[in-house]
Amino acid sequence: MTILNAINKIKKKELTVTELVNSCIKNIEEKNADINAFITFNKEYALKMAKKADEKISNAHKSNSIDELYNKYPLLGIPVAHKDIISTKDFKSSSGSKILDNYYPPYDATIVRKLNDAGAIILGKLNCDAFAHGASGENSDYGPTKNPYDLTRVSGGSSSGTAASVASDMTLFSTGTDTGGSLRNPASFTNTVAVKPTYGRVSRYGVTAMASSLDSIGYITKTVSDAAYIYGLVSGKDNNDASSVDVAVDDYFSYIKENLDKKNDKPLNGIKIGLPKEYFGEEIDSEILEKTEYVKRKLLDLGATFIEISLPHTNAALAVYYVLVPSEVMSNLGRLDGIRYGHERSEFGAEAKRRIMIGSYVLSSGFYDAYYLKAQKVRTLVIEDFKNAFSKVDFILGPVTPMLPPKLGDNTKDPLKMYLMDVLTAPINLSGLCALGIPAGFSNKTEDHNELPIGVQLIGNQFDEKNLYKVGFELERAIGLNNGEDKNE
Amino acid sequence: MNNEYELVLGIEIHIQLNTKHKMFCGCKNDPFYAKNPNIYTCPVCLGLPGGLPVPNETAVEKAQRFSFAVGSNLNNTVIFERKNYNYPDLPKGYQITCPHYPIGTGGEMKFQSGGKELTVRFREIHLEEDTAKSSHKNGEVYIDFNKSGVPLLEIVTEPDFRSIESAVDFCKEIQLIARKLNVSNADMEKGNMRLEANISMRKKGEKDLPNYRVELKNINSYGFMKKALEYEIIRQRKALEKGLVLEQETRGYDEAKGVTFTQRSKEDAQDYRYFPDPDIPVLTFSEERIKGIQDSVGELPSTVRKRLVDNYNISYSNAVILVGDDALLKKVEELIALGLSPKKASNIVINKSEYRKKSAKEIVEILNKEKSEKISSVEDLDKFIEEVILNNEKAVLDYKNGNEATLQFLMGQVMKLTKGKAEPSVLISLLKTRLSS
Repeated sequence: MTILNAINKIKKKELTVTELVNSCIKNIEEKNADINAFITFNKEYALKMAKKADEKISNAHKSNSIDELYNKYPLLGIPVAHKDIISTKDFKSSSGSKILDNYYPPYDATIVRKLNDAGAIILGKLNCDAFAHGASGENSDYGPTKNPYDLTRVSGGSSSGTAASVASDMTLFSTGTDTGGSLRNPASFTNTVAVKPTYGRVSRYGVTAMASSLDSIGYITKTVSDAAYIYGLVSGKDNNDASSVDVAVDDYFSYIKENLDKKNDKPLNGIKIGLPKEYFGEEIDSEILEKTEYVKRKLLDLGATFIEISLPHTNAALAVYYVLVPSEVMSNLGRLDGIRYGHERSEFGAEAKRRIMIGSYVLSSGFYDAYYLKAQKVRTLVIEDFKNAFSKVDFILGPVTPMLPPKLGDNTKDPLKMYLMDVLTAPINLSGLCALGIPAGFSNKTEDHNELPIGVQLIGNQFDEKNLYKVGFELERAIGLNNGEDKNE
Repeated sequence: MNNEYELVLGIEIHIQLNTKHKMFCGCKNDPFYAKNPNIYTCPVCLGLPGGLPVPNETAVEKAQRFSFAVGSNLNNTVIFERKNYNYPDLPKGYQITCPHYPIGTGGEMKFQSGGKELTVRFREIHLEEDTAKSSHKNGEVYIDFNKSGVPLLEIVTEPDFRSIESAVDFCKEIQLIARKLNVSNADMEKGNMRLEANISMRKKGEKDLPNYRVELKNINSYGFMKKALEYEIIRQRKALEKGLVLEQETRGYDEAKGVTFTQRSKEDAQDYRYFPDPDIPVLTFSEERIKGIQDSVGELPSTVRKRLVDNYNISYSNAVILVGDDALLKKVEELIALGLSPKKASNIVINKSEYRKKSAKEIVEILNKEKSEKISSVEDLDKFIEEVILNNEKAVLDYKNGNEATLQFLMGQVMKLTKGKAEPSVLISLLKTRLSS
């Protein structure tokens, strides 16, 4: 079920919040043992909150003020789960690491507070690669999350539980973080929609930092419409985050609201979309390339025009990413020094140790100029690439990952192979742009696997989310996967 | 070849800014008076995962005002960086500071020491966050985070001091300016102000800096600073005289034993892996903002002192006392406004304890009353002068023979007879006339 469907039904008295929450609980109880999306799940808390929401709703029904109630609490009674890297006062927040295994933050992250204020109900906390280091979920100290479409495969990462929980109807939406692709990657593996906000649009306060200059706080939904509905609620300048930007929050949902029931001919007339030639190389799986081509044809049908563009520093971007990220990781994890959180530093997982060592090396005096400073300079070139591109086009379309969801264990022995998963997503974080991960369909069935989800990413210029949601919405409608349709209906 | 050694000394002064809130969060900045440990804390100054620093604009402004006031050059760009190291009192594993793109760079300050005007150059003035306070009890370490994240201004001088006294006088001047500008209480006992000294020795006449430097840390009083430096000068000179090679190192001062001791040698020097803090955007300041800061700085202690000496002819030592105490200076200025001569006004305020609790107006009233009782008529005074001349033949003769000093003696005698009520200015001219007739 989608958020919009649920709200509609609640407003029409066809559904109570308790029923909605119970359906999620049922799915969690049935599926989580296999999928391992949740690290922490609090049934009693969710049902208590559901009861409270139902009381509010029934009072509003009595006084004919249900619309007013939902204007005030746009997510009233909507179940949500948070990536474990996001601080929640009432739930353990381990960041996917045993080092924080018994850490209960004394405060809520800004995005949690905003969603609580909007009436959302927290079901629990979601599995992820420890400290969000990874592209498969396998770096979690709580075991890997498995792909709901194929339990022998990863659900992507680092927001592995975020994607898997939405894809398996354990919740209506889930929060996560995207530092180099950590929302778009798992969404593309699980047939879900990823929201990677413009850097500075959504507050980072209360989110365990991975690489502070790239971390974007977002979420995964079933549909673009749901994504747009939530966006205004979590965006905006936060006085607790100096890197959040004071740009006016748009009404991101208005286009969708007005056009939900209309069928538009060529709604994307005049919109120019760039195809970066570097994103369509031989190393990309042929089925993924075909699906991206399919999405291109759909967008053409909607009236958009296409231009081939070049992002010449795409390959350098990954190297830049894996110099800058470990530098910031090294410093950000310095606080987990074995003194305050009840666990020794030796309990850090292999990937965290790897990044701490790389970061310590590239920042050490004598190497700083050759690595860190050089990487910052090349980062500027990557940003210039996109600036040039956006002087010619409104959006950029590309694949998300070079491969279909790998089998569990396939990439864990070779860290470099794992790092390559970020090649098409990390440049967007380096440039602080916004992007939507949108389901494009499924792969063919082979001897090796069933149909596996494939996603694409639509990349927008900084703070151009309003238009991004419009294009995303029309594209999703044109592809017509009808995700979020209640299978029991 | 000269065998005398001279001191090469640079000073680092840390002063806690007296802002309402801490440097990067909204917590109360009042570590000294906090009733209990760890009451002024939040996720940011505790360094919890997800805590983010937001620079305190007032702290930045105070730092800028101070830097401009002492003569350092304000920078248009300030970049906060992370200084990475692990210590129990540093909850994030790094300290946020801005040594490479600081608040103020270079510049110099003139100050008085030993009756001379000296100049010291600044290397830089930067703003950072204080660490938590750790204390050791019964073999355990206790940490109080009330102090964690308090705004701290670090003033770094070039090694321009050649004597301990001049360094102490400089520090006192800095302390005074910090108080005058209301940027810090600069109270060393409360830890608002802490000193570090970079000390080495070279042969007199040499121009190059010595190839070693000893850093003396955590000096919390001028007394200790003097003692530690005196000890260190002797230690280094003896070593150099023996032909020993001195090393770069950090030393502490053991108050009980009166000696300095090695804390960290060059080999243990830490690599802090500085890099720009990605949580804090680069601060840029327009020329208007810089101009505004400069205009907001009122009269500096050195300017006030100069004004007192030049315009009022008040002695330099009195000027120092008056500038060091706002209440005294205010009273002197009020007395001058009420018609007293500046010299008299400063003399009364500084030296006459009986007037300490009186307002300027009350003092003038008392003075006027005394004046009205003075004997100033020629007729009245002549009687007393005659009596003194008669009774002091020898002194009168001495005066007539050219010993002018006896005039003072004779005046004193008249004063004695009049019980101090003779008006001095009238008396002296009258006495001179009578003696020369």
